[in-house]
Amino acid sequence: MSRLHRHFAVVIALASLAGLVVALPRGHARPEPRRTLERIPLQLGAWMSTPSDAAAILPDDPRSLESVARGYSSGGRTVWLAVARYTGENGPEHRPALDALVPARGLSSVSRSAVDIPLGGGAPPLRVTHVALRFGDQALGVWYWYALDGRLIASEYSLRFWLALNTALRRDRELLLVRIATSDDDSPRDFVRGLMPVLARLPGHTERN
Amino acid sequence: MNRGWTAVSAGVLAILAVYSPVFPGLVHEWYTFPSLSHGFAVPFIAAYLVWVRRADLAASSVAPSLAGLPVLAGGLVLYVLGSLSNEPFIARLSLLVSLTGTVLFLAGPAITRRSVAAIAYLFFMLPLPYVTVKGLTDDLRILEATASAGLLPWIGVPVLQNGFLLQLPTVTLEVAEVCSSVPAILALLALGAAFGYVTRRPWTTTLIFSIAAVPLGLGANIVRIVTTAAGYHYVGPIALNSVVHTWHGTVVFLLTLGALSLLDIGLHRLRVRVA
Repeated sequence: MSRLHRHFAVVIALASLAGLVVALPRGHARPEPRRTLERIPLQLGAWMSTPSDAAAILPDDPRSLESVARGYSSGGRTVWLAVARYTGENGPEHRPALDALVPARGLSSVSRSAVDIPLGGGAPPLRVTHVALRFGDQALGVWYWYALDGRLIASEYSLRFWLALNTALRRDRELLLVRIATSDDDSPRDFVRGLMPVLARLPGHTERN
Repeated sequence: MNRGWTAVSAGVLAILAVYSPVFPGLVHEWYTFPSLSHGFAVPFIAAYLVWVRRADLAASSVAPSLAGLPVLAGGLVLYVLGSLSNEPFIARLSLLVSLTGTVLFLAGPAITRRSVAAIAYLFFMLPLPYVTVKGLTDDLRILEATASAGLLPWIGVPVLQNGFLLQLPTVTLEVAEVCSSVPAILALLALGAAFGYVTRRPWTTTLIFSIAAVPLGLGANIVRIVTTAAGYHYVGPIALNSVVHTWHGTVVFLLTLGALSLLDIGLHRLRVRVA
C-alpha cells in the first residue's frame, strides 16, 4: 500500500466519522410548557404596575415560549419591563430575535454600549447592554440582558457562545431575556434593585444543579 | 490524469459529500437575500482560479504530506462542533479548513500553494453572522447619512440631518438598513479579489483591490444616496422609483467596479513612474 493510498484511507475514515457524528439524530430537551413569568409581582418596591401598552415600547418576540410586558410607575417616572423565556437552544428559529429587542419604526438614531448598573448592598454591578434610541426629538433608553443557567450575559457574542455550548451538550437550560425601557436619561437602577430578587427565583436567573 | 490526481480528486469529493448537509441552507440564503446572491458565482470563480493554474498544477507532482493531517482533523472537528451547536457559520467556515487540509495531506505543499487562493476565495460565499452585520449596519448608516448630509448642500440641496433621517424641504428620507452598504461587504470584497485575478495583477495589487473595495463600496453607496435625495429635490418623488434607488445593489456594484478600474489605472501609472 503506497503512502498516497494510506493517506487517502485516512481521509475517507475521518470524513466518514465526521459525517456519522453530524448525521446522528439529535434532540434538545424541551422545557415544560409552564407559565412562570406571572410570578413577577405587580408591585416592585415603590414601583406599581400601571395599565399601558408595554408591547408597543418593547416588541414581543414570537420565538419566546412565554413573555410578559408591563409598565410600572413611581413618583411620576415610568419604566416598561419585558421578560421573556426561550428554550436555550441555539439556531435562528430559537434565539431571541435581534430585530425585536428594541422598537425599530420611526427611529432616527441608535447606539449601543455595555454599561454597569450598580445594585448596592455589596453586590457586584449588573452588566447590561444599553441601547440609546432617538425618534426625532424624543429619546428612549433600553437596558437588556440575558440569563442562562444562572449566568448573566450582556453581549450578543457571549450569548451565541453559551447557547452554542448549551445546544452541543444538549442541556435543557432555559434562557431568559430581561428588557427595561425608560424615557429618562438615568438608568433605572432603583427599579432594577427591586426587580433582581424576583428574577432570582425564575429559571435562567437561577443556576440549576 | 494519473492515479495520484484520481486519489486527490476522490478525497476532495468525499469531503464535499460529508459537507452536503450545509449546502441546502447556504443556497437558500443566497436565493433569499439579494445581498448574498453573489454566492452563486463564487464557486464558479473559485473553479476558474483553479482552471487558470491548471498548467502549473499538472506540472506539480503529487507528494502527500503529513502536515495536512492536523489541518484536516481540525477542520472536521470544527465542522462537527458547528453542526452540533447549530452554528452554521462555524460549520461552513470549516469547509475551507478541511479542503486545505485534504489537499495538503493528499497532494502535498506545492499543489496546496497553487490551489489555496481558490479555496480561500470560497470564503466570500459564506454569509456573515447576522449579529455582526447588524452591529456594523447601525454604525455605517449614521456615517452614510452624515456624509450624504455634508455633500447635499454642495449641489444646492438644503438638508437637516437627524440620525438616519435626512430632512429635505419637502420630505424626510431615511437611510434604512436595506440602504446600507454593509450587507454587500462580502460581495464587494469578492469583487475586489476577482478584479485583481481577472486583470492578472500582482498579488499585492489584488490585496489592495480587495481591501479598497469596501471603502469604495461605501463611497459608491453615499453617491447613490446623494443622487436619490438630489433627484427627489429637483425632479420629485419619481426619483424614489428610479433605477438608482430601487436597484441599489446593482448600482453600488457597478459604481464600485468603476472605482476599482480607476484605482487600477492609478496604480499602473504609479508603477510606471516608479520603474
